[in-house]
Amino acid sequence: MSEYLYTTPPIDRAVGVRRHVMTTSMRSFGGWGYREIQVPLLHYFEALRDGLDDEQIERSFRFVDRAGNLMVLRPDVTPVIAQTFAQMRSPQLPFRVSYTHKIVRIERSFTRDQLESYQLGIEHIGGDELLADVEVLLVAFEVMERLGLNDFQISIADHHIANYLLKACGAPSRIRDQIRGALVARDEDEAKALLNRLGARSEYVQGILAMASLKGGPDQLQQIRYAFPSDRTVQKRLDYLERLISVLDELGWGNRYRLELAELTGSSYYTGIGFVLLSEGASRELGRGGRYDSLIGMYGKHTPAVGFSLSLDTVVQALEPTANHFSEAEAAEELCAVDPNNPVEGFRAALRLRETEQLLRLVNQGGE
Amino acid sequence: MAIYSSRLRLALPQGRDLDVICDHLRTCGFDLPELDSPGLYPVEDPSGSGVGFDIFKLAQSDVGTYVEHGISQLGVMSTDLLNESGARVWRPFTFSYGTYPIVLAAPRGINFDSLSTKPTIRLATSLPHLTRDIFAARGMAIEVVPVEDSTTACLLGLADGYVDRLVDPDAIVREGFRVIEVLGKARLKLLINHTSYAARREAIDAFIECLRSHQPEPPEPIHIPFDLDE
Repeated sequence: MSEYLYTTPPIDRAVGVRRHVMTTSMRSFGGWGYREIQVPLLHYFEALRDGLDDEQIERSFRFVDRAGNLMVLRPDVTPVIAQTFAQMRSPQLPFRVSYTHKIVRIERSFTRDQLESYQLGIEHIGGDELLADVEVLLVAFEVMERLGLNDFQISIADHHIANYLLKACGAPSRIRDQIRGALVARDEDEAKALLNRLGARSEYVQGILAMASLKGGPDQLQQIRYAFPSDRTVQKRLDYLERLISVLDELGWGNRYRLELAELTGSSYYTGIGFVLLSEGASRELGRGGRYDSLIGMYGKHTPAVGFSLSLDTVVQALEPTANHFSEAEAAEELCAVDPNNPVEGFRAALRLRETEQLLRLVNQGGE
Repeated sequence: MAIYSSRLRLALPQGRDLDVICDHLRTCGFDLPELDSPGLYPVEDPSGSGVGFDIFKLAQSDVGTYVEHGISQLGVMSTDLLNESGARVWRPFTFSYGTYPIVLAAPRGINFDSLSTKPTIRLATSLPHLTRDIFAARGMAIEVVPVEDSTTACLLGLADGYVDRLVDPDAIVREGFRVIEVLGKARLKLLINHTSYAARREAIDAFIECLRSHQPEPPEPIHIPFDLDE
């Protein structure tokens, strides 16, 4: 992002905060080697639909163009980048991209009809799972700190283990969705009632209810390990999660994340870790991310990937009350008077000031 | 839009369950007066977490919205209204009271078969989303009449039957209705705004523990007046 963003005075505080968030985030992304990508807003729906889940399709805007093609306005950036990557001939891996893009979809908001919003984020495509997961989380930690969100926290879940247990417990897909909904709402009683009604085996009840616990933390991993002592898939995945959190702890981020295995929100394309970024100043998640190892394969060659995005509007909401310092540039501007009867002299003076990068504002010498 | 405060706000639903909830809070040690006027009622936390509470009452169906947007960190709401509002909140605690059957009811003598033979079944309800979902899952086309007072809508001929929470069985019998089917249960839940929980974990955990350890005995289940009973 260019420096000019810092020197254009904002028309109000929110504009200044938006600019600060975009510049700071993109600078952090660039600092970790993520190069900015631009992808189209308008897409052929059929070409994109494999990467969109039912909810995303329901919330998207589709229309028929003059040639009779069903088109969709980008409802999420990640599937579009996955599709773009899948079409590349031989990209160097890992492929790191960042973006700041508008998305168009019905968002849940006060009015329930918010259509346009901005996502800022990164995608890390290819590469070792542990290295990529940790790298993306470190970028998220850095961005949160540099934005000045002092009370932020990242809640980390694992879609892999949740999907495995929910499928293995024998629940049909409609009941699986209900159990997942109960987990997300930390409604242990509801999850238990659904599992009991289903007649699920006791180890699945125990393992899934361990995820529903409000308190979260590494104990959840131990409880699941205990419930499935001989299930190699579960044990291997728990080993991975323990390695991940031990790396984060050793790097000194232990007080900034929390393992919450029920934090299974977000798109259905997540297949590994999933996380949400929280701050009490915002009523909703500041952003979310996760691993999506199957998404790119829907458009081309199978390639694992992980990423996250921030909701610009929510981050601005969290920062705005404390954001007085984002309009500093306004104070430094110089007034430059121009006489309407003899404007050339005034404009020359203005051009001289601009040669020295001085901020200025033209005023009518005859009185405005 | 979220509120910064060192205190926790707790939104309580106006209506039938308010007194029971207040009594439950008092047994937990909250020095809570009668909530007879609007506004915030500041009370100190008896659990010793050092965080005070501001308690206030709201229309039952509004509690989820206030909690979702962080205006109130905590709330109490029935699951039928919560599902109807679509509010994204956590609900980690179920109260032992405030459980009501959600029923399909109609004037006495009408049963499911006679309803099914109508070209269009028209159902009055204050729970339009739930009603549509239940009957759509059965593949039945119904016309939903969204009203607050579903029994009056039926009595005056606006609908063939109604879907609602069964709170007072004697009242519906007096008005000439009978239950055709129990469609589910509404339960009273403690709601939490999840970004607030991330920042106030200890205080909220202590509050839930306090509610749990002073949970009153559940009341007798509500008798359901089916036509078959007579």
